[in-house]
Amino acid sequence: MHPRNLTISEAAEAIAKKDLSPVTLMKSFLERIRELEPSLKAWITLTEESALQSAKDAEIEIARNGSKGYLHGIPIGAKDIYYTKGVLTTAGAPQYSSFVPDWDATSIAKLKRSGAIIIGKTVTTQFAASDPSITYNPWNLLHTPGGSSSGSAVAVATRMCSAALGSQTGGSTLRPAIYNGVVGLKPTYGRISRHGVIPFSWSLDTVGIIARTTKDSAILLQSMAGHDPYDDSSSLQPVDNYLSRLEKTSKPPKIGVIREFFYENSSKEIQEKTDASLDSLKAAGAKVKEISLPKSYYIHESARSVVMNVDAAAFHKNMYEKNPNDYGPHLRKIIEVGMLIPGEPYLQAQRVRTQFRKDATALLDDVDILLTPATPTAAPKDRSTTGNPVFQASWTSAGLPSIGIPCGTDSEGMPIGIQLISSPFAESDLLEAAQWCESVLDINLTPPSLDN
Amino acid sequence: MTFNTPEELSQPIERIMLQNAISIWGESYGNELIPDIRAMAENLQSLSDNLTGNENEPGFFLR
Repeated sequence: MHPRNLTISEAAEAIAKKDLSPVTLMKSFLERIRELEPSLKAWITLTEESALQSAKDAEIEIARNGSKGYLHGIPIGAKDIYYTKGVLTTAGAPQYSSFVPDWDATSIAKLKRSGAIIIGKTVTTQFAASDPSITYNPWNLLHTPGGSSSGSAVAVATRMCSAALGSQTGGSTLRPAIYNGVVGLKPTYGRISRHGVIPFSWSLDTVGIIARTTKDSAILLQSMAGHDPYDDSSSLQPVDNYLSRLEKTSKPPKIGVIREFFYENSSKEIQEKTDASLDSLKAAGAKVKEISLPKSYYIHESARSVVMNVDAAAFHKNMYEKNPNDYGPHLRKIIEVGMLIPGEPYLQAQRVRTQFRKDATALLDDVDILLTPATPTAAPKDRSTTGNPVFQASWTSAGLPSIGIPCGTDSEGMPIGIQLISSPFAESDLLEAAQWCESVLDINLTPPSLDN
Repeated sequence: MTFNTPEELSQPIERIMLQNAISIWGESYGNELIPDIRAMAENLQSLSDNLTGNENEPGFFLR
């Protein structure tokens, strides 16, 4: 198999056994980037020279002392909102067009300490908001790649890197991941530090992971999870050993399927594919129970919208006042409307979010995970949108961890997926169930235009 | 449909937001924001409609 087609766990095993050189792995990704980047535009900055040097250093270090672990010598992409020491960090915005941080985001520093190599910075929509990016969907260039983590999803789907960092304020990790046929993980709010991640909404932003498999996403989570004194929103909750949990034999999960709202707002094809996936999971031993939504679900989107607008206005106010024309039309309106919202409804919106978090967590009292379609449709054939975040945004607003895994393609050949949700800080349960579902569904998607 | 004065907006919160918008950006651009103000006002109204004011028991502040 070509090195770039290996998952992180496969590549790590080959590297540890010295069957694969990190330099060979890095070169295989750089070769793919040279081949596809002109047509897909997934990257803002490539750090080819330093990435190759880091791969050579990793090779020497592994030869001397052995591998540090799964990420040693593995090329990772980072959405261009992550501070990367000495590397241009633009947030996809003219306001940051020449910004070069002199320190790494905590998440980036942790990945580097685990031996990962940052191969470059991936395209983001402007400030991770909803104005579409320049990136193309490799499954069909006429369809949106999703956003805001457009470049990260496309880079992973097309084997330009082993995995990549995204972020999620509404649905910005899971949605592009599913639109491109790969796995998207949004951990619990506070599980991974956001220190050094350019914000969209302090109340909602979560570091996201885009990878080829559930296990690969767990490998990145394991490296980055944990409290950070530089991020007051990061949790003191102890970090589980996600990987040891995944190495044990899993029993079929008890799944709570939510058809209410999610089926009413998805295409017939999405409903049928979700039901077909559920049939496969049931046949393999999963217990499936229908779950109804709490009343707070139906106002959480109003609350989320209020909070997101005000938070965005708070961060952007000074930059906006200097030059409002630097903003894309969607983000500009978000900031402007956010500046007009009085304090009282903002506070009430935060209380509604707290209540919805409690209610959503209670949905998991009798089941291991919740399951919904990941998106209302496959990636729309419309590059003027990043797609609809409504299926992911509720769980982001509640701060619950969620993961999107592919479950097939639609009649146009575009990827679709299912979304799993668990209780706060129950990432171990989520990942175990997701890996079990992944093995039962046995879906491995590669964009049709790619050779090996 | 275009609106020229805050009084033509039906919800009090819409009027307050539009008045604020006009005071910040002037009448012309403030009026351009009316569709976005209206959409946000629906969210604010939805929140307001669903709050009971009962603060004595956790969770009972929602209708």
